Amino acid sequence: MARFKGPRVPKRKFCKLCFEKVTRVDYKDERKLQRFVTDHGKIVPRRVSGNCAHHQAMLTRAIKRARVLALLPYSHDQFR
Amino acid sequence: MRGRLRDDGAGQEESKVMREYESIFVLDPEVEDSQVDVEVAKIRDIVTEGSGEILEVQKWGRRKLAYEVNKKKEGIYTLVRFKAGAEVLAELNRRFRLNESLLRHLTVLYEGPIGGDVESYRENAGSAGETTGSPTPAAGAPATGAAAGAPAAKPQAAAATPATAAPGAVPAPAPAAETPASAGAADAAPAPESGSAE
Repeated sequence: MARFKGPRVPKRKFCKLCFEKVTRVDYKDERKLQRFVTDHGKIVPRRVSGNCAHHQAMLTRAIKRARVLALLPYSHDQFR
Repeated sequence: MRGRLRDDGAGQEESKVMREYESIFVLDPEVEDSQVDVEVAKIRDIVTEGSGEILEVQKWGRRKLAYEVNKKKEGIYTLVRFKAGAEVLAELNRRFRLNESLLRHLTVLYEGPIGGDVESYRENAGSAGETTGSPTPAAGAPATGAAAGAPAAKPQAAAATPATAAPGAVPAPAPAAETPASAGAADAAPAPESGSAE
């Protein structure tokens, strides 16, 4: 695998959301969503977060909605 | 679109399908708090006119915005869940857009009650929806290097990591914890992780 420079990647990449059997990702819950967003506010890519396609898609949709509602920033130089 | 709701009631037949929606709107913080109720009442009127019904109203109160909107740093958030037909939806959105004291709005199909640990997140954040300071991760939080985002400890994960009751579950991804969640790991787990988590 490539070297991991940035956020630590789980060695065995498993989808945490699958593990917890998450059925719905709430766009209103910014605290949970924040885990999947970099410190710059970008959405963490799948190859880093280890999420499966399904959950990643749900997550992305939720994050983008949250951004519209100003619950999450688009970018951290915008941040406050 | 089957007819618009008009003030003179000239809308044509109403849609037969009533879907559940969820609308969040953010009001200008300079507006009086009582204005929230006024807006909710307006929504209530629109919905009931279209033979819909309001299911729930959540007032989140003032919150810090993640970024400035119209030079404002705060907003008053309110959520309304309702059941209505398509023309109500159209009218509602139209009103939202026209309202000058609304900073943001979003209406989506209601996706059903959130299950499991996400509920607890809503509670942890306080129903006022405040983003509290970064919480201390519970011992055994798997994401040692989860620099991505706040290290909010997942309550489930805290239980799951030392869980011997997780057969076949992939162990904590932390590089330090190489041993799978066997009996002895429960002791080993907190030590390296709390070190790095703190």
